[in-house]
Amino acid sequence: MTGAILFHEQTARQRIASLVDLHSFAELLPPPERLTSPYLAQLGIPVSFDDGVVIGRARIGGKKIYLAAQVGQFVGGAVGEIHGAKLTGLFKAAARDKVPCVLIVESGGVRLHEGSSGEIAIAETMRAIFECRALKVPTIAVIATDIGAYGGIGILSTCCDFRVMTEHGRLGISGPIVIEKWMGKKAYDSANRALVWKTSGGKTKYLLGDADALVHDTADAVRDGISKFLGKSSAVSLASIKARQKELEKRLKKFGATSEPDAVWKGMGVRDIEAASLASGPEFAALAKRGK
Amino acid sequence: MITAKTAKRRENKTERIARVGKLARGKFVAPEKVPEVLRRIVEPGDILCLEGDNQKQADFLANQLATLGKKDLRDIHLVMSCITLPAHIELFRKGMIKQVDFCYAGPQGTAVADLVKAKKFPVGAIHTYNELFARFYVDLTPRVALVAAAQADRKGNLYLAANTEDTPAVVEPTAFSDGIVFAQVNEIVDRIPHIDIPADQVDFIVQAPYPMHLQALFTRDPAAITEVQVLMAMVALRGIYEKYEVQSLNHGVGFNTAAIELLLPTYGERLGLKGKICKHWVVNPLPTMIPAIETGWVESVFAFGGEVGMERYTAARSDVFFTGRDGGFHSNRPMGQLAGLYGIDMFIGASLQIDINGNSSTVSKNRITGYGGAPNMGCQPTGRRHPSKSWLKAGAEANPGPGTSPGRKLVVQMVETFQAGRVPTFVEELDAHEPSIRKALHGVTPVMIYGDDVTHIVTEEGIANLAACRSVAERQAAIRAVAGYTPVGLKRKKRETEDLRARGIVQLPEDVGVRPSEASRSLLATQDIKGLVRWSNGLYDPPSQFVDW
Repeated sequence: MTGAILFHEQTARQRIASLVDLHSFAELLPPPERLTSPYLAQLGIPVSFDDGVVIGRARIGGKKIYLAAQVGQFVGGAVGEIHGAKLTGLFKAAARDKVPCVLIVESGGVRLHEGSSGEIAIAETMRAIFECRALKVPTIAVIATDIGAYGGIGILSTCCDFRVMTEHGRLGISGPIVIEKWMGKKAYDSANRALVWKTSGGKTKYLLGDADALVHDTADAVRDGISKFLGKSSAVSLASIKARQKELEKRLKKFGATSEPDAVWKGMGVRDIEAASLASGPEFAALAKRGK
Repeated sequence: MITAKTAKRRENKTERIARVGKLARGKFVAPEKVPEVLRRIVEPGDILCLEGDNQKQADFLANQLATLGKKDLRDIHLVMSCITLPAHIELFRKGMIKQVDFCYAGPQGTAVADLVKAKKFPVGAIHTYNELFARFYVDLTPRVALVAAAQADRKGNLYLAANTEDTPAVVEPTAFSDGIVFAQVNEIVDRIPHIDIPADQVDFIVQAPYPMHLQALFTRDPAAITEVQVLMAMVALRGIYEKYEVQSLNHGVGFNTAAIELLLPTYGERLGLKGKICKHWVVNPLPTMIPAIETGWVESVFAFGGEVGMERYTAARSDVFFTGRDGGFHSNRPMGQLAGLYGIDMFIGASLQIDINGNSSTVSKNRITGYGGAPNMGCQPTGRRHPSKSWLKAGAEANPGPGTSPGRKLVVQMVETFQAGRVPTFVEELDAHEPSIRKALHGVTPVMIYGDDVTHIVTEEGIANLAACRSVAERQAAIRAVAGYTPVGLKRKKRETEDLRARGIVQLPEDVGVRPSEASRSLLATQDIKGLVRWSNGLYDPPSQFVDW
């Protein structure tokens, strides 16, 4: 029952090393280039030589990929100008070279200290992602930690073709504390961890179709999850967007009034809530008849 | 019936009960009548025991007592194990207490320090648990005891459920000295699972409008165990558990020892230690012990109290835990403390501060926490006569002279050199020497464990074997050698450290066969609470604050 370090406990660089083929990773704009945030320096806040994101070329199962991993330990993986520019450039390079692009997400969104440039950078990265999608170049977001994907990075993650999640991953726009602040503790108790994970955690996102794969919390499982999508892409067309919109309308009608996350699970085909709560990855997927 | 020649105490009890009159129906009191009943049964100058244990609290009775004022009740001599609740503090603020004798004030440590500064906290003494329980039978026998139970039947028999804790130790001396026992219960039922306290030792019972406060104190989330703690755990396993073949032990409640528990089925197994160490435990039902129990390391566990969420698991593992005929978990603090004093090879726990002589304390200038039970277990009981392998081996190292015991209990302090916020653990002098604290305690410095009792200190730097030191100077050098980059550690002299290392008194991780680079969280049998639930086959129900699924 023991083995490698769990994926969600690894650092960004450990994650990359454990995902890609041995010695295949070549970092772009590595720390020795010292591209740091000019804004944080002005505010007297410590900077990081990678500005909180590691990007580069690598191979998975022999296939070329572009790869980025955000560093949650550095200002919560938040996106500033340099961080954002690295992401934009990476996805643009992916589109140019027609090489799949994988983003290991760990970010609460835009870095407040450099809000405008962060917002613009996220918007530009989304544009680059849609360039990839138009060219059928696969884009994959991996969301596997409790920092998860929130704010602009939550939106950006859902712009990718596919999302691979673990049960530890969380995906949303406003974070739990923000929701509680606006809606009140009665409506949403951010200290209720079970509630938080049952509304924004990987399992629920998988049930609702926001995550395309739910995998175990190990580098091996995440790599397998990524590999399955490397040759695929999901087309963005008017028809596909209309179909998705219909689906969402239907779901709002079905669950809009419910305040009980278990009811959503039941409505999405989970019969044994207790067993499903304990299960993870593929075992959970097997217990849930998604989308019925 | 035997008639006493003088029965003033008994007559006084009869008078008190007569004063309650129709406020009670038999033994049973309605919740809203409790304050008035308390006013009538307690007299000025009484020794009053308000049950506040490490975990369970007679909180309803405490809250009702706190609604009264100095004109209702005054000059109370309060005796209690743990000052835990805001209601306890309220009694001091209102000036109702003339003296307090207690053991521990963890959650209210800051409030107690404030009361001491305001001279509103008249301490008799701070005790260890068994000291206070002992005095219940000598000079601190309660006139009135307010206790907490899970259930009562219609006759007034009490069922204490998993948290027996201190209740028998409070009730017996009170009931057998014509004192009054008043119990709050969660529910009154026709049939209780088993009788813990017989009805004839109970005078009044109230069904509280809310279940008693029960603290989940011993749940340690494996996710919060650091790699430094894993390293220390590996060093302790090899340098102490393996070396002395420790059979019976108590673990503290910290993350350091939780790491050891989670390493047994993995690292311990790899070292071939299964069946050789850690068979008999005196500890609460720690959730982090589940993997070791499930892999067959543990033969028996006796507990001071219960732990929230472990009820179904302990019932299913009645071959390991002590349980009633009904399968319900049984605990007992005084007996657990006694077992921890005399019955075990080793006590291992953490501390906030250790001085250069090895004395430790959890008191700081702004926080007075008291002792609890650690000093009972973390000491050398000179009344011990039975040998064990570990006891004799440690005793031989300590080189006893004529007129001393041939054996030693292993008393191990396991600490990181720095606490959170880069506060050094090792200091030249303990904060506990603060004059205002010493004055409040009648000249006693609140030391948790004395350096003379400590056999080993384990830090991330290595092990210092204090028992093997031959002089005070040598002991200080050994402590400095493992004190890392704290001011105490920086004063070490390389030559002294090398000399101690050559003699095996100081051991670095590599000296006990541990490579620091091996220390990884992936060695833990599980990395999170959910993993513990899985290990328990779904029988462990963690408290909601630990659940994220």
